[in-house]
Amino acid sequence: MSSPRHVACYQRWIAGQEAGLGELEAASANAAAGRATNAELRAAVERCMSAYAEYVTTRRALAREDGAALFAPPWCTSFENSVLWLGGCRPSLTIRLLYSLSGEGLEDHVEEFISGRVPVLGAAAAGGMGGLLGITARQLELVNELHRRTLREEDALSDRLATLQEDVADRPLLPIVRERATAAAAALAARACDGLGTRLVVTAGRAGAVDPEVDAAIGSYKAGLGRLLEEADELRLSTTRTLVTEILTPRQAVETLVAGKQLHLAVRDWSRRGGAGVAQNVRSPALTLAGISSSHANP
Amino acid sequence: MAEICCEAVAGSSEGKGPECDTGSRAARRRRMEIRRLKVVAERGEEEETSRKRRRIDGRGGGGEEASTDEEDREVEVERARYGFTSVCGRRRDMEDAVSTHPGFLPGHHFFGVFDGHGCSHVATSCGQRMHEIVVDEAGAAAAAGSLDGEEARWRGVMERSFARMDAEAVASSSRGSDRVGPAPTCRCEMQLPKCDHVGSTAVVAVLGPRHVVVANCGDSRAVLCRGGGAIPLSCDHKPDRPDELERIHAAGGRVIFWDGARVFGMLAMSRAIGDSYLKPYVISDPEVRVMERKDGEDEFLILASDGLWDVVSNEVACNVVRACLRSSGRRERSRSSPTSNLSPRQSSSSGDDAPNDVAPPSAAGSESDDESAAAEEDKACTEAAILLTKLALARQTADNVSVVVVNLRRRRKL
Repeated sequence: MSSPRHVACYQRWIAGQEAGLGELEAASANAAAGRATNAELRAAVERCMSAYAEYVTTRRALAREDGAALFAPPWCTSFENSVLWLGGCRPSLTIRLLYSLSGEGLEDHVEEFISGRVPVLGAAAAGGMGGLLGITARQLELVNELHRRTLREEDALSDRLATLQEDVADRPLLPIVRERATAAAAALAARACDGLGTRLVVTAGRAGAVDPEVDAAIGSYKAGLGRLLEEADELRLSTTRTLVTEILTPRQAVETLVAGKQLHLAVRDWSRRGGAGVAQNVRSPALTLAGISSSHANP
Repeated sequence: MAEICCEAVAGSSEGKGPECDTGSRAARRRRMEIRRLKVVAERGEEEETSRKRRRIDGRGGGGEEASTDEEDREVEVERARYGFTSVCGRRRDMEDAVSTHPGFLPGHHFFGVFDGHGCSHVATSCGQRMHEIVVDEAGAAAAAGSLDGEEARWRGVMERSFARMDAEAVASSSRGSDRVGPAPTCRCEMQLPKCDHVGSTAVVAVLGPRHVVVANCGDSRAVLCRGGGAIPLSCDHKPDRPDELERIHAAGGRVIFWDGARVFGMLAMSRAIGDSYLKPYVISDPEVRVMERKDGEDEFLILASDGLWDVVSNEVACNVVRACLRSSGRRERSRSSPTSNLSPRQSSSSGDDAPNDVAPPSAAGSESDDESAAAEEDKACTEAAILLTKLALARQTADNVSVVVVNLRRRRKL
């Protein structure tokens, strides 16, 4: 169940994404016009990453409360939920985004470069699109290392999620299910002997009532999910942080973050067009804002 | 000095460009010389010295360069100038391996690209072992004192090397999980029977003083740029290549079109190292090409996995590399920010303010000029490899991308 605090967390995050996008777009425009210093760009990147880190911290507390609540949250559209991985974007998505961005405009540029109209590749790229065309060999090498490391960790978390999901058919939940089913069958048989064929009573007895044993069993799975979510959030954060603060130049980092936020917000908006199903019927503005949700933890 | 450079560079990019200038040896020599001088000047040498050298060279004619073609003894041991990149790209598994071993035999340099399938371990062991096996086989061939010519000798060396590499790959698979030694780090963890369904392409180039030897097995490719043209030195082993199809049929195999032509509907190449489950239809015999080097015409060699060749033609690849080599000196001159202290082969600074930038290297004396000129050439090769990689990514290649670029122009002694 999503508590008001979950909703508030998302509200803040989405509002932050929109504000952050505005700020980064302005920084990018200034950089393109030659009006931004590297220090200014770096500061913009740092503010963006701090907001992200804060979001991850808030989510950590929520995940410890209820680890399942952030998986496939009901305020997301089915499309948003279908691209979630452990409650957010795949960490490797950031690398794919960078590869896509670094190819923008490359064809034209290469053509001019081959023809000799652009004599020096790097110089033109630096003035072009934020220097993402000008990713250097060393940067590419570091990106590739980060990519492989991220994929390994991502796969390890996926494996653990798979195990956790399979664990549902095992202890502690299954023995309780079996035991209760046997008890229910016995009760039903007893009542049948009494001539009171009240299956209804039995069913009512199973549902609804507080059952500490069942709560504890489900709680243990939720705790496992919460731990996975925490680690997934950490991986999302660290992959992005390494990329934008250690590998990319401030200008490149700004461009990458801009594209990441654009993508996140566009997916969120577009999957809501034409009544595309948000699981809950979201009508009021307040709910819409809250609902938007998703832990699409896109930076 | 700057003026001289501009003239020379402008001259070379006017008209058809240097690649078409195969007839004018003198012009090229001049151009090469000026490029070299440019570096010299950057390192802070007296402009006067440079001019003098240029004049001396201008008078010198082409005598000594021509003689290096014929007399092996005259060929000084050539420093390898190359660069490479290898990235995971859009795939979630990295199954490519690149191996570069300059001077692996006296006067010879080894370059290899191995594109694994099924898992990475066969490609990885090719990357670790192939050059050692080639050294071994070359030694054995020399010791046997065969009367074969160089071409036949290299053909034999390569064929035996690939056979041994394949035997090692198959043996390590069949040991499976019982193998001794360090735990495998690959995805399949060497568990039978899955690790039986693993193989790798292999394209290997040995650059000698007088020959380029290319041995290929699978669908990675080597392309030579000579006199402005792109000459493939290997022919991809695809199951629907007519002669390969015939060979597979003759062996009793079938090629089924299932997402492209595949041997028994499984492997999309007709030769590979490993893949013991598809023997004898899929074989590990390489096709070997021994090309005599043509100084003055040979520009560079590109080895790459199909992650590149699927989306970039041989011709475009050659044009890209040529443009990079052409502009390298130019960029170096226009750049005011420092270069990196990392190995030139693996580094290059954008001049923006990449966080990896450090202080400029100091340079003095002709020896370090020589070194820095060579480093500059390495960097140009690396930049060419990276640009090809980026182009492949921009063109949506879905595979790992590995590219090796080797400069074949002879450097003249300072």
